Amino acid sequence: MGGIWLSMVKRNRLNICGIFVIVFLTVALGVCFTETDQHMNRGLGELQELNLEDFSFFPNVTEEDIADCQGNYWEAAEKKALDLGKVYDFDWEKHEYTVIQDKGIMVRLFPDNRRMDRYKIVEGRRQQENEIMLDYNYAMANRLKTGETFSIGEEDYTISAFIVLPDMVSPIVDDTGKMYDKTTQCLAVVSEEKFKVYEDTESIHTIYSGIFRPSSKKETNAMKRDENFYLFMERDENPQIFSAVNSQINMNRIIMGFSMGILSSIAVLLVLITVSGQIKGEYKNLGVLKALGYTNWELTRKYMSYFFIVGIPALLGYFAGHWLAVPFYGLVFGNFSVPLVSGGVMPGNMLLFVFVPAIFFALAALLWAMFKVRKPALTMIYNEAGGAVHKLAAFRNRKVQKSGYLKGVKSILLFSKAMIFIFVLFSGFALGVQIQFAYTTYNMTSSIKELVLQEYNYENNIRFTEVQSDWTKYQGSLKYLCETVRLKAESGSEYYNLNLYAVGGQNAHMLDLRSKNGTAIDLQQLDGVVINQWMSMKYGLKEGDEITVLLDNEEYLIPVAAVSQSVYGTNLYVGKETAGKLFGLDSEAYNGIFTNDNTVSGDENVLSVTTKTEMGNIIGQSTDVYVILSVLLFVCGLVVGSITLTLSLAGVVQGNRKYISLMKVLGYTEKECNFTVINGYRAVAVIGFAVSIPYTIALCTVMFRMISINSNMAYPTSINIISILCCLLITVGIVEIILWIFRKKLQKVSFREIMEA
Amino acid sequence: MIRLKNVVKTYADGEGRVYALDDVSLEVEKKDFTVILGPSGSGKSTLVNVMSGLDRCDMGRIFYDDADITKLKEKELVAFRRENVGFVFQAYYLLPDLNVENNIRMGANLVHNEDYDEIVEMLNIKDYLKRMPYQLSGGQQQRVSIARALAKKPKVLFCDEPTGALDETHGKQVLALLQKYQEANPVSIVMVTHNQGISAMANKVVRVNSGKIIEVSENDSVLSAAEVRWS
Ligand SMILES: Nc1ncnc2c1ncn2[C@@H]1O[C@H](COP(=O)(O)OP(=O)(O)OP(=O)(O)O)[C@@H](O)[C@H]1O
Ligand SMILES: [Mg+2]
Repeated sequence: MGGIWLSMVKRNRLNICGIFVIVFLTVALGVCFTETDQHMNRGLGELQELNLEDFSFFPNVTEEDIADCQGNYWEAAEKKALDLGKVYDFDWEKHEYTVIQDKGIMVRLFPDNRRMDRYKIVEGRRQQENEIMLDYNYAMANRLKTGETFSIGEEDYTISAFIVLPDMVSPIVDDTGKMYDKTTQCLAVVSEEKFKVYEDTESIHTIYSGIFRPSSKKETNAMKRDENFYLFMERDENPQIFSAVNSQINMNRIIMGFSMGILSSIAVLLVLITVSGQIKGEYKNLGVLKALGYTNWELTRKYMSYFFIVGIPALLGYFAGHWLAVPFYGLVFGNFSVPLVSGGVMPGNMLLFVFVPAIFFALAALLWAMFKVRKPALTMIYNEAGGAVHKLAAFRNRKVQKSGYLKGVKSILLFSKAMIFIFVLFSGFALGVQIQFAYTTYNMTSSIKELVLQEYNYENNIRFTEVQSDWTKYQGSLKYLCETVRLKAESGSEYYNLNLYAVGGQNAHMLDLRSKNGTAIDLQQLDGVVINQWMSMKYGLKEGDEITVLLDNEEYLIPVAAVSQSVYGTNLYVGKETAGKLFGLDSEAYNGIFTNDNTVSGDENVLSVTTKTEMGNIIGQSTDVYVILSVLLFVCGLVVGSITLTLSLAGVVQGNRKYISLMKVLGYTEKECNFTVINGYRAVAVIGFAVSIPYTIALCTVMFRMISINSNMAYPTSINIISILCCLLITVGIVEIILWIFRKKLQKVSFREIMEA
Repeated sequence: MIRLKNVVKTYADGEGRVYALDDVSLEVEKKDFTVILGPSGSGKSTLVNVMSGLDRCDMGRIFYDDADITKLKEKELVAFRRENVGFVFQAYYLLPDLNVENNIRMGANLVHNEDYDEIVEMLNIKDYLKRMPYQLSGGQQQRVSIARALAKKPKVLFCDEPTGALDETHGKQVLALLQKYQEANPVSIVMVTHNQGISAMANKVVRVNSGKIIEVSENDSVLSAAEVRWS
């Protein structure tokens, strides 16, 4: 058995090398993606066990409520929450934190008093007096260790533990859209007593978390519409909890599905072609052996060795992927605060990625061989190929024109070797798809930043805590009034939080909105709102549509006047005058500015400042992953594509050795031989590539659309002629090199060797 | 026309070397009908392969008129074969994906010969033109391979056992045909055979054994194919 196996490997060594590399890569990538996904799911699963909230809310406290509680606002809020809990059957808890800016670091400080959304200690132990627990991501990014000192202002704490907070998976700061940066932003938990100290000096943010009781009907839609909630957000739509992380998980899955689809079909095709080629190659011999009296089982059982030919690289690929999964997890999900629960070698994955394919291919090869050798021995010896192919060849033979003989022979050869034809076509296709996919991803990533920052004709976006009256300080700025609104979705049952920017007319150039084709949008001239590309995709809106917007629990039907090219953000823009008409907003009230001034630091009226640089970083954060992924996919695609092309073209030269050598013996020149036997396949590879262009564009469009809908950013795909030409050049280059090598090799072989092989 | 001088051809055989041709010298004139006789494994096929420029020899010279083909580069050798030689192989070597007609045209096309009907007629394969090679008997395949060689209008025709797969009637037909063809066309024929009887058709008979020429004899009078004593 061992001997047979070795000789079999030797005879097909080129293809088997290819199978090794491609199966290895496919399994490694598949395992890497899958285990990353599984790590994430397990991590999120652990968070759920920390008594994770079902929703966040804030009760709508009216003047009457306050009056009922003798003017005590917090008492009134508490009472209202209690009432709501009774109506909708949920438990709730008040959560507080405070934000402290210190030495360029932003600390969000929580008291250690939670029953809901409890923190999970990843390392260390619970804080005691004068100790602090820091979030794991910050600690890792800054290489902190437990036992070290961490100071906030004057106060020195000893770090007792690193933790994750389940309601802060993606700790985006308030509603400004500023993204979490683990090197400069930190979540920290101190004792309740310590926290009390800050209550006197710092402003405290409060939010309520709710968990439905088991008996609850979970009427979330009714709750969203209930006026008694000032704010209501389910954990799945909460960007700090699941919404952002879910979109990243979806992206990961979509990209995995895409690359695995193409890779695994290459692997399957390659194995099948190798098996088929092997059967064909020794069909005559099998016939002779059968004539000598060997049984079918004795002839074909060696084909089960495909168990090892596929299984060994798959096993190696499994371990490579398993080993890669942790750093890859860090790359893709590094900005989320989720505990990494790496579960060691997983038997389920091993089974799926190693044993299932190995057994499948062993059985497929065996059954195929069995099927082929069921014919009588004589047929096998004399009628090498199958009937259908021969009929086609016979038909083609009749079509050979008097004038173009070699051309006719060329087409006969091209179509009589169906397997080789398909393989070459597919190789060109696969190479094209992979390279272009990587390229498109890369292009898209670099265009996003441009598209988003286009409208930033200002450096800072400054929000004040309330409407300001004195604007003398900000003469050169563009004023706006920002209100939180909710967009009612088509279905009518769901609401999405957006920011409505009613923008003034002075210094209007600072907000440079442009439509998709680059023309400027003049906000003041429009009698509707301007949405961006992402919203257009996500909510299926276009210019001229009407949307239902909820402002202070009033519903407004508002026309969409334009779609801007920006692909990120939840800002609706509207001219101040139009805002007055549509929403009845005060035409003199402003609570923020777009400005190039830097004069605001220290102003205690300032709620938040978002800078252009920061926005660039945010975009960078979410697109960097794709840059790395696209490079990875490019390399992988180049390797796999070159291998398949090499193997398929090797198949061409191998399968046509007889023709090439006989033609040379008769006196045909090298050029004529190439024309007749090889050049056709060059064209086939390029056709395969050509087919891949529309395919990839269509697929990328669909795929990035899916990603866009599932995330907080639109991913635009554009057709890039240069990239297509580059890919074509790469394909043609690889084809030429490979053909050249094989022709050179063929020249060295003597005629008789070829004919008698 | 063709002169071989001290030609040596060896094959690697495990550790040692087999001398398939061992210091062979030979001359073939224009319009000669040369027969090469010898036991199996004596080097007959090797001799015609080397002589025809199909294979290279290790030592010695081979002249066609005054040109030394051992000095030719691969490309020039191809051009030389295109101009000068035709082959009929011991194992036919028909191309499996081409039908009979297209196999013949593989030769004819080289010299833009559109008029190979006569050859087809002579060889009695007109009825099989549209068949695929695997649908032919061994003898039929042999005749197709002869047609392919003749359609190329070679100056020298090398035949390696052209009648090996044929019975007496068909074998003689093929031989008659070659003879007739030679009368009508300026071609030299070099034929390898086991069949002693055929040597009576040739004007030159070369006997080979163990890679050496042991005898070259010239026949003054030759028999027609029909008169040959088949063995
Ligand atoms: N490629 C090769 N490698 C090694 N030895 C070879 C090779 N080809 C031929 N030989 C040897 O060279 C010698 C001459 O072979 P050749 O084919 O010329 O014989 P032949 O006279 O044509 O025999 P037959 O009548 O059986 O066709 C033989 O001993 C053979 O074993
Ligand atoms: Mg021989």
